[in-house]
Amino acid sequence: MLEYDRLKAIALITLLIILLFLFIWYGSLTPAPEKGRFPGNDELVENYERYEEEKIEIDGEVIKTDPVTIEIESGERTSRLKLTGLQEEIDESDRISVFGTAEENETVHVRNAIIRPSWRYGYMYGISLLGAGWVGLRLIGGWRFDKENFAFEPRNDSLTVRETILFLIRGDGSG
Amino acid sequence: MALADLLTHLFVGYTIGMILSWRYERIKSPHITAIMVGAALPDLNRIRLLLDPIKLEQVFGVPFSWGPIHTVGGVLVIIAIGSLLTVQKDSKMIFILLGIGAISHLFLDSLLITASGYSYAVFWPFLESHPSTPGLYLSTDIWPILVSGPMALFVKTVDRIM
Repeated sequence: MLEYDRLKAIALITLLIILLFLFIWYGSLTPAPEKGRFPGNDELVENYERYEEEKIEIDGEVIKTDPVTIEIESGERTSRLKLTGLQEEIDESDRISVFGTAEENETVHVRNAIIRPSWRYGYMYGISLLGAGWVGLRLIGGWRFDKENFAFEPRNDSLTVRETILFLIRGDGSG
Repeated sequence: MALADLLTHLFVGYTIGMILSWRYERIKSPHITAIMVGAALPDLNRIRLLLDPIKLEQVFGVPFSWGPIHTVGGVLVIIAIGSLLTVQKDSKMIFILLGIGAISHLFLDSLLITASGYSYAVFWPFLESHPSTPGLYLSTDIWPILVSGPMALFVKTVDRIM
């Protein structure tokens, strides 16, 4: 058992290092349009001019409709870009994904766009939160943490939703 | 940008788990939950909303992205970590269950409509290219839940009757 614990600890540390390596590796990737990876929000907020005349794929919020202007985010930084060639009707606060060409004066010529009213995002996050609650309750009700083995194991008898909530309120480790 | 409709992924995971439990007696309620957790895992990349990768880059001075969580390679490592954190006799099975859930998620998301017509780097780091997407739905669409929800309810009902 001790031998297994030692191997387990080594394996866990190794996997965490690999994961960290993957995060850094992915972060260092640069756009590769021939592979379907186009310059996006991060690249254009960082340095728009560098990608002029290139195909880009961005995602932002409509802040003005005449001329159509969108705000794209990259972390906490934002940029405002004008759109030309848009066929569809849009409203302020709509969310828009754009595939197009970066042109001069921070203007993007649109080839294809997907437009969604902003409330759809509220809907999506709302039901996602609901889902997180559901799987969370199932996890707590169906699994327990065995401190001795530092491992999760299925409960012999899963708790019902009511029992799970009671368990959470009481906060005790039994069951 | 691939977006989350977590509930649809969970309904799909639940449905797969239920059907598997009819075939394999070892699969019980906690194991169905494991498939659902697997089906939720790729959306852990939402951690970027809390921990901004660009800030992390500035702090640590190395490039950084949470992107791998939503790819085959990254999710494989996370599943391996997760299965090692379960009791030894179950860990192999949990690895498979988490994997089934995660594959269902990555597959469904590879069908999402995108502006460029290209999906995301599903198979990274094994393959770098973004496959083209058939563009079946948006995660802000409402109909996926109207299909997956009743589907989950249906298998639950069948399970009760059986």
